[in-house]
Amino acid sequence: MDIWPETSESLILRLNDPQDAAAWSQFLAIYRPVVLRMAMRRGLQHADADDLAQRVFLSVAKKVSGWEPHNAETRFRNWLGRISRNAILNELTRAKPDRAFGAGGHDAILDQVPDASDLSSALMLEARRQAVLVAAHAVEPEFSSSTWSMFYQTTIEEKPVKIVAEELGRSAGAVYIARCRVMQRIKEHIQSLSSFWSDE
Amino acid sequence: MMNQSAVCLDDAEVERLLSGEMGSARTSELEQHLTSCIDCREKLEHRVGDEGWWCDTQSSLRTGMLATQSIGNEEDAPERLLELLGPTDDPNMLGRIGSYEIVGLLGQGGMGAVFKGFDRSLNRFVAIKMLLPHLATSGAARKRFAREGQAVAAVVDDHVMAIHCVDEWQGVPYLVMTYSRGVSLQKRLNDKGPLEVREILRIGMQAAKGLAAAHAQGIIHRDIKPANIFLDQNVERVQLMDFGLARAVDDASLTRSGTLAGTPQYMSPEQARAETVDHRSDLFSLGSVLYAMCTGHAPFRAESSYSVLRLITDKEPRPIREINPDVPIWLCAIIGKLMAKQASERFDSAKEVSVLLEDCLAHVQQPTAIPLSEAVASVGPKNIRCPRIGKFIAAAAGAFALLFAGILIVLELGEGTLTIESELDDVPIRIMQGDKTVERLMVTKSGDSVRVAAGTYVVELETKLDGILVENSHISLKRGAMEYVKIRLSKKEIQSHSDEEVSRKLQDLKVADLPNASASKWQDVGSQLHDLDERFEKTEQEIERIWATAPLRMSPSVPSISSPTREQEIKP
Repeated sequence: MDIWPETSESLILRLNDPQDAAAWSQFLAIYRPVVLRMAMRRGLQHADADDLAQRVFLSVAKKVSGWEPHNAETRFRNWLGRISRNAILNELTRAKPDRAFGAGGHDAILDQVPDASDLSSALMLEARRQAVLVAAHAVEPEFSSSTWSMFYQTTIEEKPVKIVAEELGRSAGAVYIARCRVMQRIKEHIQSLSSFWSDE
Repeated sequence: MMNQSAVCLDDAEVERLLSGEMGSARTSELEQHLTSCIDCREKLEHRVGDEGWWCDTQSSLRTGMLATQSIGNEEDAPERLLELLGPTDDPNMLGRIGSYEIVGLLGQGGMGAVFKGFDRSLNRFVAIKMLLPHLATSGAARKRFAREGQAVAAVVDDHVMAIHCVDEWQGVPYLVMTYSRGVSLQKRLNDKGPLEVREILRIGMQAAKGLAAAHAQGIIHRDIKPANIFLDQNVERVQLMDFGLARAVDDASLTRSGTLAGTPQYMSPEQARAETVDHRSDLFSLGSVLYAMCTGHAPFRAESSYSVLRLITDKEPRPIREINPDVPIWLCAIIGKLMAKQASERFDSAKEVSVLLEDCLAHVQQPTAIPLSEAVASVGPKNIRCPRIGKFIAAAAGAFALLFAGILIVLELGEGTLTIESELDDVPIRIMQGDKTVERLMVTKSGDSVRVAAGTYVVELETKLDGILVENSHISLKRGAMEYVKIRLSKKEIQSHSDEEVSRKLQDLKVADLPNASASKWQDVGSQLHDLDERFEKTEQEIERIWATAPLRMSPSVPSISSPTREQEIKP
């Protein structure tokens, strides 16, 4: 995946509170892929989607530099989530879907252009999905490789528990426990990120 | 239960197990235990999240994690397709697939590409559909594509696009079909927007015929959508394409990226929930296609495929007449029935739909000579799961219309609350049990509730009414076009099943219960009831006739006591 260019670095420097800085990078991890995906789904090609994302985060970044830290860390997150959603919706609805059907074009043709309220809920949904992913990557190091692979094979690759258990020489119960433990951690992690898309 | 041994997990242990703080001895004991104890497994899973949460999270993880592995794949670019073709000696041709010379690329979709080919031996053009090469990497998908192709090749019908041959080229299976000029319904909708009622009926009827032919051979289409309905350019003929291919592609694309191939916009709720589907799933999709022809767009639209699926399973589409007021009510009713969320509430077969639409078409083409068929007017009443009793109640209510309107309610379990609402003020209502008046009410606009014990009740309205409307657990009465009285029955014990419960109770109702309910009051209509009862022994048509002539009719939605969302109104 792409690394976000210097903008983020310089921004982090401008944010005095390290917690805000951490929030910003977490925020980018969630929202940037979301913006790219949604832009591409609307028929933009990768390079154009990249441009659009750049514009979105530039406008957000400008506002971030004007952010006055008041008190609670969550307030920065909520505020950030809110202004970025607005910026994203602005850009997405402004961008004319580019009807160049080349690589990866059919999704764009099939998902017809919806109205703004659909777009807004789709954005929330996508953000939540991305957060799940971010959370999964974040908690992966906490688990042993065998626990993780029991989780991965059953949940992601959808292999039957019995077969995974046999292949790894464990009992089915062990696989169930592994899966639940990982999912529990993912859930906890998502909750810590949730301020980015919930308005509360 | 055998598994309920002493080692079962308690809440504190679940907590510790999930946080990884459990001692290793007990952990390995629990591993053994969980291998066999389903209850504990569920307990553990529910502690993490409910079923919906698991489902959402898993699908997010799957799409995300598997998609990153295949980022940047451009396997389906048109240039790649040309690499598939073999060399040709003819300079006018692009290449060759098997023995067919390829003239050009007709189109490309989410799962396959269609070439225009020339069959030298028969001296004719053909259309060749080839599975996209990246989908053909899965052996299961290849086999299924070929197998479905062979199955459809056996269906001979005017409204199913004929398959001449199923073969394989360089490991990629392809189908050979008739080449004809025309456009897909999707293109027609894109270009011209909503169609005329006559066109809608003509296309719908022919598509239903095609489906009926395939269903007769046990083939389910699974992907009925405007893009798969082909309209011949010169003759007014409609053909269905791509039978069963959706399933072949599901195989391939799911194993590849965890994402759905193609558009889910026309999927049925059972498909959206990934449950097993039968021929009635195609009927839902056909309903969605009819909807699209009426409005110019698919019934369920959203930004992501995922949200579309949620809409399909949870929501009713926007009423057609809000978008296009030219669509007749009866057509909306037909579409509504096709798009019932519960498969059992749709039509029984595509054959039935095609006959119905054909009748409608005849009526639309000659409105003065041919009346709208009775079957259309009864689209609602056929919803009734147990038509005899349902109609009986309707007819009984009809017989009372001159005196008062009576509605029979059976409440069996415990205590319930009966809520009566009215659009008009001061409607006199009596709730009777046997001969006894349980409650006498003057219902007002704000509504009124009565708590009643289990039993059989008759709610009587001492007014003359022109129609009764029953919507899910609400029973409303209609006078003219205005909603008159609504009667709602709610039970505290059974929340989610209460609707079904009520409808079952209504069906369980014995004819004999009626006179008992209120002997004195009902006496003078007893003979009429008896008469009706006798007539019910006669044919379905006869019942229809009585039904049609009854002075007061219970609306077609009597049955939809169990269909929570739809509301239909009968035409007198």
